[in-house]
Amino acid sequence: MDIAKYREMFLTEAAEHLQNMVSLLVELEAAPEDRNGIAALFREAHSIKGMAATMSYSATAQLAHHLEDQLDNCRSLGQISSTQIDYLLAAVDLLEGLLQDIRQQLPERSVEAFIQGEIPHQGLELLESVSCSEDLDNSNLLIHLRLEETVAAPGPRLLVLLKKLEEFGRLLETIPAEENILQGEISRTLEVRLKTDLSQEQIFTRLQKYSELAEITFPPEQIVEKQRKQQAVTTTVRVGTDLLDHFINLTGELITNRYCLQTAAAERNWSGLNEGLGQLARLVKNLHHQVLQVRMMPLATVTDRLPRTVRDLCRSSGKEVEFVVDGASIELDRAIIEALTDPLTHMVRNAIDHGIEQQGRVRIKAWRERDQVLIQISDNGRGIDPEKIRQRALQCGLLSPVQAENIRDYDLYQLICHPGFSTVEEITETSGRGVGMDVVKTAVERLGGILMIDSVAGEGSRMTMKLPLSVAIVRMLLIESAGSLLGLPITRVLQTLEVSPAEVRTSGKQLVITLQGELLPLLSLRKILRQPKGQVKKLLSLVVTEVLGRKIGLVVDRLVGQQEVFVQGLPAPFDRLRGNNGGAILGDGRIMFLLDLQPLLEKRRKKEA
Amino acid sequence: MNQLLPFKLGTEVYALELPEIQEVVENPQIHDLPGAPETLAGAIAFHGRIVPVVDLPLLLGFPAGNRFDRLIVLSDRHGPMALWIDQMCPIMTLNLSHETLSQSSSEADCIRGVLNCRGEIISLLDLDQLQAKLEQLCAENGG
Amino acid sequence: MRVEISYKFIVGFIVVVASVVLLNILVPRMQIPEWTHQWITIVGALLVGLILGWIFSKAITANFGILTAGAERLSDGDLSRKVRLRTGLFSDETEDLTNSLNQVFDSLRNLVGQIRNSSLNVNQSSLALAATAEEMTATSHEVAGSIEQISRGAETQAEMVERVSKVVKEIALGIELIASSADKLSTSAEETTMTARQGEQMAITALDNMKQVLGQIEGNGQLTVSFSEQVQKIGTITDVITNIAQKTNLLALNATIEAARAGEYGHGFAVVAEEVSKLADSTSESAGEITRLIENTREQSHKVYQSMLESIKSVDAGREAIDIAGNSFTALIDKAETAQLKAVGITELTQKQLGGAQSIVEAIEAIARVAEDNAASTEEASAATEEQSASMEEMTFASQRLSTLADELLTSVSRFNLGAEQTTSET
Repeated sequence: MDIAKYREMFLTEAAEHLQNMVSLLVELEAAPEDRNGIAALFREAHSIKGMAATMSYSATAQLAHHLEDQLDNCRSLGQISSTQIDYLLAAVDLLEGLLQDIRQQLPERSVEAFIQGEIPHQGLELLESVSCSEDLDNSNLLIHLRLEETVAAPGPRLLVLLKKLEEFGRLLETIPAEENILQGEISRTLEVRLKTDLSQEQIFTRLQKYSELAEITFPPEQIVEKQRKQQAVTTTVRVGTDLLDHFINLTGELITNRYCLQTAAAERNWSGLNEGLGQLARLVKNLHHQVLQVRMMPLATVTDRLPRTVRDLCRSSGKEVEFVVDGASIELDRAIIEALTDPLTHMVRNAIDHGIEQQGRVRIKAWRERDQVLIQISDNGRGIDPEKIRQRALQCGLLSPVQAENIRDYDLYQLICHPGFSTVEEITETSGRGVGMDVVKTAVERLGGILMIDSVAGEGSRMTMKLPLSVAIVRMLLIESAGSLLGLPITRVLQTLEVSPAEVRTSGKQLVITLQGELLPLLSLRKILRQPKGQVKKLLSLVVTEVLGRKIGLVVDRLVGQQEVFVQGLPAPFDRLRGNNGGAILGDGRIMFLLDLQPLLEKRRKKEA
Repeated sequence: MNQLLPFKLGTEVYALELPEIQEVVENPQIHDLPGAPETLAGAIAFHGRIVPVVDLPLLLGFPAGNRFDRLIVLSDRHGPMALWIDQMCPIMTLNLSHETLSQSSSEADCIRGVLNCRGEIISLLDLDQLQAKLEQLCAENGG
Repeated sequence: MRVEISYKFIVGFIVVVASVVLLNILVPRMQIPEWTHQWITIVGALLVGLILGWIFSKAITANFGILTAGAERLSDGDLSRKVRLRTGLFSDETEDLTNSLNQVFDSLRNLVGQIRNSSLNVNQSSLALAATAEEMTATSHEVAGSIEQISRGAETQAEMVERVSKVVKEIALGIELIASSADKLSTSAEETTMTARQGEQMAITALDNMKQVLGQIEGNGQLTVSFSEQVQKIGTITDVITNIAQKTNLLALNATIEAARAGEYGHGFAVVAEEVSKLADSTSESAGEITRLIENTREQSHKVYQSMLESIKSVDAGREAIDIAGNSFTALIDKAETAQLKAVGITELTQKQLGGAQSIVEAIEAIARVAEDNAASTEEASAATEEQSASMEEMTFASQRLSTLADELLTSVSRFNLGAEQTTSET
């Protein structure tokens, strides 16, 4: 047990050191003669070496030592060159890889090759493996093949299959590995992880031609494992001592309060009991507030990683981009910070890849407005061409010609968040697959926020994320449907109202009402959740919300009320179910499930399609 | 010596080892989760957490019937999860290695071993398989 | 210029004389023989005299002729034209005569005109009068008819009054009969009341006895009930104990689980947990036994209670019966008293009715008298109407005669011709 604890500490600290190194390196690129910078770098590498050596992580220690030597050189030279920075960055990437190995309790990877002078694969790929949510989308397939029992020479056949599969995309992983098969391992089953653009059906059709295959399956991703491990990434947090003092004081007060309550109850002193309870409420509120504070982390946690990404992109694309971050000290709930990592990265990449032509500036600005945080990524590049989007939307069938004419620019921009939408002709390594923006939008909305896109052609684009301060405690609108309690975050609710059935009209196959001059389609929550039909009532309770870019009116049994609840994620196997992305236990012991309309409606749309 | 908690599913007797169990809860309020498959009876509020409740007999193919008013809440390693069963039996203490009839595992029934204890056949429930089965069910249903 | 005839004569004469004179004067002057002087003078005078005389007499004759014509016209009845003299230089009495004649014309015309108008009016009026008289005759016939009816009616009325009078007398008799029966009723009601009161007393005594017995039985019943309740309480407590035992069992189970998870360190704990479990089990068993005992006891007491209830029921039935009897006596008394009251009431009523009947009789007699008066008056009226009728006829007759007279008059004046003016005055 002890080892595990120390390992956690090591990993956290080492990660910090590495992050510092990356920041320093990026700064040094702009100011290569900064002695202090170089000295700081040296100290960081030294710390890592020391820690790794203590924990007997030899490879890590070795690499860190190597880095120390390099930096020592630079220190004596008094400057550091671009290529050196590249080299050092690659080294840092490798260190991160090592840390990952340690975290997953795998043996450390070999650093020999690196030290000998071979620079391993581009930093970008490793960076991808750290934040591999992008990999977890459709482009990554797990294929399970099984040969017929009676078929002879399984080995060669497997090799043939592997070759075939390579045509479909990139083989990330094979079990058994190619070398093993070559060396004579006999297996009738082949499991392949393939990075491909083809769909499951397409691959299936192509593989079907091989009669020797008895079974072609696409087993569901063992994403669970990965996700679990991902969530294990940052399980420690730094807490200031003053915060801890607060806690101790609060605990003391709570104990006193408990004695008061017990005495009052024993003496049947009702007024005393009430007083005590009042105090308790105050203390609990205080405690709650403090605990939340612990969860807060500065935005810098995310944005500090970005200069590195920008730099790498600049190097690979040859563009010159200035990267500025304002307001990185703003504090947000951890869960939000974690969820923002990928979207921010993606948006910055987008900005550089597609927004900026040759030269430009990408700026991240974060500020707080009452109980919301706004994070804005703006660039002064090309901007988004509304015409192109319009064309593409018409092509994809997302808009009818009439809609395309009448749609406002604001809504047009929102379309780029549609899955699969992309106006870019070529797909680069990093973006253009048309997958990223919808992931960003989903992530933002999942946190209970809004994504706003604004652009002026020729002057640049601006994407603003409006996020609540805290994810854990959310103000919910409680609704009832067929006896179950469900909740919608208030931030997603545009309006609640009650209408009489007489006001409902039909437009096509859809039931609609007129609200503020617009037609609002109505959907029955019972129907969406496949619950039995309810009784006909004199008044329909409606919740107006926006899903998949459209405003809809959700018909519910009853509007129960508003409450602030502490949202928990649902445990397995609930988390695999679509339609609920969290739950909360209310004060009276009832369980309220968080309603996630988007996947439910998508599923419905797919069914209808 | 191992301790087991046997319980009945339909007419058959299953059992779990005590370390796999966290607690037995009485008369809990099971809240229905809309959109969940039938084998997931719902969720309970357990020590401030939302714990899913599995209708075990239904999941393993036994007929629907009156469930017991106690739930077996599994330990964190397999959880959080609670099992709804038909009938609970008293704890028995025995030596697993001695009494085991067979070590065979049956995936479909989530059994990882069968015991013969004083004439009664007791099947040991395999929780990992149970979990996998559930996840699959949910993925099919919800995904 | 007006010159009277006599003057005209005189003048004429004068002229003749003058002419003679003149001639006498003149002729000598003329160159004619003297012998002719006289002859010329006489001839001249004669001429003058003849001429003048002719002129005068012509004039006068003419006038007189006109006048005569006028008078003849007048006698014929032609009043249309006035007499008009030839205009002459010298007007004389003939003019006066003409004027007077004209005046006669005028007056006569007026008179005739007036007579005509008046006779026309009279005719009209008499016609109208005749018509009115006829109407009145008719009306009076009607009146006579109505009066007859009234008369007849009055007769009928008198008959009816007699009949009513008879009926009322019969009613009065009937009422007297009722009054006497009411008296009899009153007497019997009194007797019944007395008997009923006696019965009531007896019932009350019996009831009191019953109540005593019942009270005793109920007391016994209460004891049984409270006993039953106690047993029930024991049952409830036993349930609580069983519940506790169950919960303890659960607790012991969970404790065992925790102990198992604690591994070695939980061993001692597990032992304790098992002991607790056993304890809970034996508690459960004992609670179960108690429950069974309670069940038995409850059954027994239930049976006792049942028989109690039966007794109570029968006693209740008896009490009810007595109550009913008592009630019926009371009811009886009530009714008798009511009957008595009613009888008295009836007697009073009948008296009133009698009085009323009398008044009716009197009223009817008054009516009868009135009817008689009526009859008499109607006869008088009838007579009067007949008289009136007769005089009406006379009037009619008279007006007819008048009319006839008017016609005669009209006829007699119709001779007169008023000329153009006539037509206007007639319309």
